[in-house]
Amino acid sequence: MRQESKTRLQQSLFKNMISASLFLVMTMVMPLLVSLCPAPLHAEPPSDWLPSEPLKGRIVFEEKHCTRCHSIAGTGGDIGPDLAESYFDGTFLDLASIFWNHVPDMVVEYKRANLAWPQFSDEEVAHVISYLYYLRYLGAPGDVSRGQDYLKTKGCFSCHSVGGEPGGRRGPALDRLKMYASPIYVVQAIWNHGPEMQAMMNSMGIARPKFTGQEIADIGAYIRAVSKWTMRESVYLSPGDPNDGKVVFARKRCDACHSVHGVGGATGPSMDDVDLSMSATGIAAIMWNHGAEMLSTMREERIKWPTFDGKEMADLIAYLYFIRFIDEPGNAPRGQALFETKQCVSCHSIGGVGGSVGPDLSMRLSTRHSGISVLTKMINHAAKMSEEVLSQGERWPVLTGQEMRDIFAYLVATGEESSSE
Amino acid sequence: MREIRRRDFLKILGATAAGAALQDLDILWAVPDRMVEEALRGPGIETFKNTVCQLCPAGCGIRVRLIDGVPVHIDGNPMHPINHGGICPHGAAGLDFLYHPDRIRQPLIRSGERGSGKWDPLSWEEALAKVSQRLAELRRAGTPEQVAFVVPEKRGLLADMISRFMEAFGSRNLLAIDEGQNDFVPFELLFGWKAIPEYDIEHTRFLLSIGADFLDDGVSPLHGIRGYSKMRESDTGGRGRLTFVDSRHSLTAASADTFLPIKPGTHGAFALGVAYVIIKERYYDTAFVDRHVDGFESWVDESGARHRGFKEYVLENFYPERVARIVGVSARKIVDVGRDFGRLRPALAMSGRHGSNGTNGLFNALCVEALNVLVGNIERKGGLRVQRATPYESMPPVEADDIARRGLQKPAVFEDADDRYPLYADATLAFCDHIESSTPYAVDTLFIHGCNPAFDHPYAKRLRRALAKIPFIVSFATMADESSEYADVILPEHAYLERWMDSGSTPGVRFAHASVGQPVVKPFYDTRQAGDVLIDLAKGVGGSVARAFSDTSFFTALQNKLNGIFASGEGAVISGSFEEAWIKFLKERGWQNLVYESFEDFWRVLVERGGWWDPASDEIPVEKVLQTKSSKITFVLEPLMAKAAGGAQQSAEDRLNAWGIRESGDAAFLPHFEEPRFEGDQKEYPYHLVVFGLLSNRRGTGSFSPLLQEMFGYYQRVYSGSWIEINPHTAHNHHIEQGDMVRVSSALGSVSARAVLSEMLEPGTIAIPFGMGHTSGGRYAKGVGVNPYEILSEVSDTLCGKPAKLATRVKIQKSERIG
Repeated sequence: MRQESKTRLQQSLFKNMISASLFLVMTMVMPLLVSLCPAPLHAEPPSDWLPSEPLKGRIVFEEKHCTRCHSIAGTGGDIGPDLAESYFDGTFLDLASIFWNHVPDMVVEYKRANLAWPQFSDEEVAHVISYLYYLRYLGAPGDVSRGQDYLKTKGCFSCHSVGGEPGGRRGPALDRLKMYASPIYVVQAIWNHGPEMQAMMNSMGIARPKFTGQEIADIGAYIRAVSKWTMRESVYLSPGDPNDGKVVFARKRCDACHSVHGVGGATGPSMDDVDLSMSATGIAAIMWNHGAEMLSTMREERIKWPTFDGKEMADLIAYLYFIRFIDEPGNAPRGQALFETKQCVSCHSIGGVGGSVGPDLSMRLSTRHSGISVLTKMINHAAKMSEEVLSQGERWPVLTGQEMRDIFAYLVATGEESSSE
Repeated sequence: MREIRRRDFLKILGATAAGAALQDLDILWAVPDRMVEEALRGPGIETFKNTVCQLCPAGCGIRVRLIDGVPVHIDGNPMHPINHGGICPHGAAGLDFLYHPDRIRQPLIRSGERGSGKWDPLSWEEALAKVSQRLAELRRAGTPEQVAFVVPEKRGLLADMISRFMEAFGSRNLLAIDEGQNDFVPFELLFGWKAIPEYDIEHTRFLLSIGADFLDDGVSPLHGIRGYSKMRESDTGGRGRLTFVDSRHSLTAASADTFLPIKPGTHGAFALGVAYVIIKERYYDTAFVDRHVDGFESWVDESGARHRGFKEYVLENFYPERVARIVGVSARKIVDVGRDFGRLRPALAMSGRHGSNGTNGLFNALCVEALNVLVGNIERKGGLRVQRATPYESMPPVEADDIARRGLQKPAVFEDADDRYPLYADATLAFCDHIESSTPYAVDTLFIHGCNPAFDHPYAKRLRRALAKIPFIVSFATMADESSEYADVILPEHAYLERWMDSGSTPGVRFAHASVGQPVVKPFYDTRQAGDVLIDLAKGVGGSVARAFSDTSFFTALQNKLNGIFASGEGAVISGSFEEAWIKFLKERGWQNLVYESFEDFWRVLVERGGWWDPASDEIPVEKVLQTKSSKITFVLEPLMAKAAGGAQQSAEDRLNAWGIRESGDAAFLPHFEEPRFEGDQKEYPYHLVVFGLLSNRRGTGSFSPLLQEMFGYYQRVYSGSWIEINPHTAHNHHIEQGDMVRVSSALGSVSARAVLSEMLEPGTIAIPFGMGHTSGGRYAKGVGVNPYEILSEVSDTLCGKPAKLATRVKIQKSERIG
């Protein structure tokens, strides 16, 4: 990992994801954490952390034997769900909670397979969760026959031809696009000459075609299948980097109209309010669909039409996709209630009130830890914790992402009170 | 430098020394003082480095375990796609080569007679000046062609650099001497492929190996073993079956469901017997054959003449009863194999070295590969898969000066000007002949890198005679061996664990791949990377030779070469077994796996992991994968036909006779069976000699390691020595018992070793392993065991001149009882 992103990871992301530390705090592993997690904890609202290399988690996924139980698109085990089909949604902690909640099942399967419980580093936990979240972004392969239908029904053949089929000549033949394996290139091509296309469509009285979900991928597949372009070279695209996409978002002045986490213009909808939990081509379709309005607004605002080169569009889409990955702060009073209803208090105390099986968490928290370190240790010691839960006849404490956020907020508040006293 | 017992050294480091417990070996390692100090006082921190094994051509990735920076163990790199973490005995014993006490420690100049072992040390500056001065003189004299270079094979960056050096210098005399150089020929004749394809063993349901001992002596044995083990798994669509056909019971035979011992050199006849059943009972893929194959059916040419096709030839001649008489296996078994091959899809036939090492070897291989054609198993899962190209960055073209241009117009000294072999003449015999006769010109200077032709080539005797004729020989050997004994100057290369290196395009591997090896330790001695030495020599020579090397070092050249992979964005740095599916997943969606922002970023990860590969290369339709002129598989061997018709003085029939081809008419130009020829009077020498290779001692370098010597005959329970395999009936006739000392003699000499009686050996056959019998090679190798190449006749394949290692007749005699 590059030093820059490593630093970003350690200092920014998980200090804000520390709500995940809650559950660990509630268990017997806390004493270990005190000595192992020196990074400071900051109770700030979710910051701008984004994974820079989401696909890196694939290696972790394999090395930790996740493939023994789970498949990705049919390759791997069938004990758990195929994770390319069971796409995860929600924030980082929502995913972390899913991971946490299936620990008891994992423990059983690891024992059956006679495998040692996996040990993760902080980076590995971050990578694997980001990776699973990213799978949906990667989309599905295009369908050739559907692609042909879309080209016809969307009126593309009014201006373009492909594969020697009869079509319009106002626009260029699409055959050349064959070399671009990624449908994002197709989007990029039409986006970059969007104003000219719009003018042409206006002059011809043609309605701007709208796309949804998988349609762009299907169209790309059809072009590649029937194109008469003879060069065999194929250009693939690297999946976008959300960090780079954030830079693109600002550089292309998207923030002049759209806000993220309350920062940015209000002319267009806030990106916090738009559900973009879909594939890259799906997000690209949304961008394209509001292109006409964008174009007129930008003219009024005297903003230049943004064009994209290289992987800028993939980066931008990755950034938009990952906006929903970031957790909002939890609610401390709710967290306090949960601390009791989840029976945490039967083992752990806060300020001397509660059980004594585990450590006093307010005191522990006052030492301040990095959230990712806590989460990592929580997972690494989950097998041992599972044994404890089993032997005491307790049920595994299931947590939602929101519960993790809330309890974390409570513990942070408690810890701050302790340290101020 | 301290000589220390291997076991003691590893104990100091807390690493296991159990490997030394086979017997009470007293192996000495020469360990730098700094490492001994580190071992005694270091904190004991364990690290791992991935690199590439260079002890054979298989290209396996290895992982070296270090404690406080001291290498203590070698294992397979679990991420590497060739070996998937597996390692062979040879690779595992790599530390014996690093710490060998007899490594050459600085440049040497010969001070005594050749072979006397007398050397004087000299500095690198002196050594380079001496060699480059001689090279410059040859160019000044306008005779650059008098320089020759011998390498094992033309793969890898160093081979590219040597080729470039020779072109810029003005000589075509770059000879790749590995005996497997012509193994691609049957594939080129049938399919137009210039590289050995992959046998997709993993996905086949019925593997018929006819002479391919792929588990012990394959091109890339660990890759073959991996495929084999996958084939045997029940969860890949049914446990695949293996039938092995050969004249010797090998490791592959021992692993097979069925082993059918046949007479030596009759592999082609067996394959045609199987083809008969497939055709007769209509198991063949008619749609595939109709569409993609020329010469299967008989045909009428433009002049109205009728020609026999493969089908007719087989049906007329190779009915099972006749084949049974030729090969020595019952007709019933041949029919069974034919039906299994036709019925179980995908079925895969493998030709291999034992089948192709006779005078009829190429024809044998063609007959075996014809079986794959009949069932349409080409470029399909479980079939023959063509190798994909790796997107390396090419070096710019050489700008040869006038001297070089004139030199390059001269023929290579190893060219087969006499047309002795009609197809792809093996260069080695011509090389020997022409060196000895100084025709068409004398060779003045010879470089030898990466091989030991005076020992490990079947024509070693001839090669030694040739070496003795060359006035000036430069060797890059890391340890003294039989070939470096002939050298005048030794420019010692780093041990492979001390240098940068690359490996790729491993024969028999389908996917594009490139491995990068990093230095695991700093060089122990005053040695250098051969690529850097070449650059220094080029600078010393000057002119177009110096200009040909803009790279300042081998390392920068390596980075430049691999920049092509980075720029292509194809494939991925290796990471693990899940990778193939993952890359396909991405590729289907138009994504690539490249997440590196710069070449430096890519390089760092590449070196850390040990390689790159592209498992998701595009599927290629059969018609596009065929590279013959007609874009069809051709059963009519047109290059042979053209050669036969090209004689000004002789008829085609006479030329075929001159080449030793006994078949006539149309059949001569089809994949057909030629009776093998054997050298030696049958009455005096009644047995066929089979020389076979072992995984533990490929190329004979295993003998340098005491551990490998110890386990040389591990599955025959023969340790630290050679042995002679004899059928018990044969042994009984000569009053030989297990363990007796036996002398095996051919017309060219004799060797003696202990007898191992094997029921599974064909009675008319005597088998001896290759690898031992060194007369040089350090304290451990010298004088142990015998080299069967010393009694091999100088007989070749009739078509391509490849050494016919299975064409020597021998006799045996009990000489002395051991124990």
